[in-house]
Amino acid sequence: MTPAFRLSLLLGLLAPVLPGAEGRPGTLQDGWELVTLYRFNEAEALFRRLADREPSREHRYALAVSLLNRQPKSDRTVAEARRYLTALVKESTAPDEEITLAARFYVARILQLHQSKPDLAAARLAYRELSRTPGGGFWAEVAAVKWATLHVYEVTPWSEKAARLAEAEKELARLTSPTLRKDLQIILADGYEKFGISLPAALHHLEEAWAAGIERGIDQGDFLARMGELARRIGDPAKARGYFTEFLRRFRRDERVYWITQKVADLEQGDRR
Amino acid sequence: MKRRPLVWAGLAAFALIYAVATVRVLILSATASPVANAKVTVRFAHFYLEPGLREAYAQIAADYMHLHPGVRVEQIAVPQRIFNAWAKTQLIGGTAPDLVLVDGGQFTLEDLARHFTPLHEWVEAPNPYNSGTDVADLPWRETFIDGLTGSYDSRLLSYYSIPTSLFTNRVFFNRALWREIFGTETPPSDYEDFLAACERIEAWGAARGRPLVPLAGSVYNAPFLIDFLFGTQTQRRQFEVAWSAHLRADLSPSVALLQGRWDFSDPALQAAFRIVRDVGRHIQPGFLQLQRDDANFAFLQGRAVMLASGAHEAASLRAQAEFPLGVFALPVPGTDHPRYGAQIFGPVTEANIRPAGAFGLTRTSREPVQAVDFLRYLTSQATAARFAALSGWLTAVADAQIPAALDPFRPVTAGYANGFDLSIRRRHPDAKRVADTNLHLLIAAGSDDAAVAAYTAALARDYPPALRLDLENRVANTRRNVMRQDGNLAAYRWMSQAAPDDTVLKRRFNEVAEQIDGNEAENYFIMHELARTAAATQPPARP
Repeated sequence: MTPAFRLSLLLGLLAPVLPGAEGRPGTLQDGWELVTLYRFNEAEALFRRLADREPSREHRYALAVSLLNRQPKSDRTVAEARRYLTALVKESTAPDEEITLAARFYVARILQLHQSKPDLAAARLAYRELSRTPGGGFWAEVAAVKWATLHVYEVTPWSEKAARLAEAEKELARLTSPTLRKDLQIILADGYEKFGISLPAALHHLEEAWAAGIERGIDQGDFLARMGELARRIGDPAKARGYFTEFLRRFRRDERVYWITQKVADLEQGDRR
Repeated sequence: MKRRPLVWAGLAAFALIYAVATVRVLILSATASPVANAKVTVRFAHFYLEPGLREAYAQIAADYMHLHPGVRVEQIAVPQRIFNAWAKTQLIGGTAPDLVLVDGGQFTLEDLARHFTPLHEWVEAPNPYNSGTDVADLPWRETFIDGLTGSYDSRLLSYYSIPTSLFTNRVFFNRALWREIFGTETPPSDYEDFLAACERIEAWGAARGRPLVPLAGSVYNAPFLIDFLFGTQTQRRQFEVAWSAHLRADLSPSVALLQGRWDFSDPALQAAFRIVRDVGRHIQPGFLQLQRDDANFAFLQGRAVMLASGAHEAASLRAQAEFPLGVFALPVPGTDHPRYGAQIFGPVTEANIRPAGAFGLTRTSREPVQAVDFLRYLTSQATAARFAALSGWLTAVADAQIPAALDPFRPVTAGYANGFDLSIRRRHPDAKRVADTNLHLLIAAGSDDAAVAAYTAALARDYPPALRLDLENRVANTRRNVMRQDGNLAAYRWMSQAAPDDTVLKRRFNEVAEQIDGNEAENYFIMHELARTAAATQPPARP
């Protein structure tokens, strides 16, 4: 065998596994599906190929988002993502365009979450500005929810919490997305309850969130038990019994069944008295 | 030219090996059972080597093959010690079996996402093998004792495993020794009776110069006793300090300690220390340095009269013990107990035990439909009952018949969630290490008051800083998870915009948003309290 023949044979055998041998280059849809499976490095490689081939705003935005979780994650990869996002915002002539707004949101997320030393004050400001963007749509509303979370949980004395919750509550008026309204109401309910400010306010927000629909089945039991217990504590036995009964109907195997059955019995006994 | 004989020798060796292998394959094919000719093979792998279980799986596989003559089911049992490395090698190499046990905590989120198939669509449909039963029309997931909540991965938004078993913890006892000591085989009926039995065993052994301990123990077994009993004393307290009215045990006690809502002088904690001392003194010395096998060995050799362990050990212990085995539920004090009753809410529920023996479907499975069909068969009510009877293990399938021998292991559901122990829901390894490191102070010889005081002082000094560290780690982990979910938010937003009528995508998008917001809010609350209370819980200067 001559060296040339040996080399040809080797290349022939390796051909199927050499880089670039894949049949299909992959689409944006493929990349986003990889992201949902937390396969960020593969997604990033795919998005980068797409962006190299055609540097459209969609491709560069997708690449930036996947870079945020590319492993090993470092300030360098996060900075690269930020450069792409900032460029998308700067070059945009339509402030209410989806990718412009999404890019602004993810710049705020970098400040809040992704950079190794978060800058919560800068993130809050960025969310505030985005939430006030005319025609900001979905991303402006998500930003309003994020702003509310940071505003409520900024480290301040508990005595300020009632006022902060009231300010966060005002954001509800801006929200048209039922999902985001619901999320903010859960945050408000948690705040009212955890900071011990108002159980009726907590119950009110939970009820509104419940009416909007809780997606995670695992949380639905918590919601019913919590609304029942809050109603019981604030002296509304009829409402408490209603939530508890619904809980027992829907969560027959839950660890709280025995306790809640007893609570229903106690409430009924109270009614008879 | 000189190398030619070597080449021919090599070729001859190759031809010989090839011929031997061919003949061997032909012989095996001719002598194998009819299922060897099956067109479809389903392989499942686990690490349960306890006697009875492999035989049970093999029998059920045989039943399934009888029902489906074209299918071959192969069981692969790998020792737990090497299972993790073995499974990961197989998964990465693309040679993994169709079904792999996933509930040993050996797989990361990335492993699950990369190597396992989401089971969402399957679990929402009824299990055809339940046809003709009361649960025939229920979604498959609803037929499990936990409704498959333990199999749902909230980060990947789908179900990733199907459980087969359930482990409750009980106290096993040597009935022959018990009869020798007590003249009866009746186990203790209440907590005081249990303590009295422990003392009598020690006195009986000492009187005969026989090294006998009441309870075999190890780092694996002892928590079944001491953490459980500790929890009975914090049962009320955990709900008094809860940050939410959802009536479920959670991490509230950790933050409540920072907030000063409880400390180690709290009557509930003092009672918890005393109850641990009551029982800890009767466990074999140095138990935290011993392993599970050491405890089993002491029990099987008759050097300990009792052993607290999981229901899954029953068949194994029965097979190895040269004495008749008894079993009872650890008696806990009632609400009328003079020393401990005040802190107790009521009986402890076992309805929150997460099922085990859960198999995931690998992405490289060549027969995913058949593999899931086998899982459906395995977890139908009828097969689950057969599994329990054959293996001596409890089943994860709700309302499946279990044999009378398993009655003592049947989970107790009429009760309340147990309280917290010092690991606080097993989420605080550093804090737990502090509690364990100082445990010797609590079970040392001397007066109860002195031991409790020494333990209280040690925990008051070392526990809060360790708890802070654990909470800081938790905050960092949650932050990492939220970072990864951030990608999901963008992905589902893009995909649901591309397919606006896809309700599944819309639901997933809403779920991701809900989850990110919920996780972030809880994380910021913990960060808030860590920062607010920092000065109060810094470690004091050591002398």
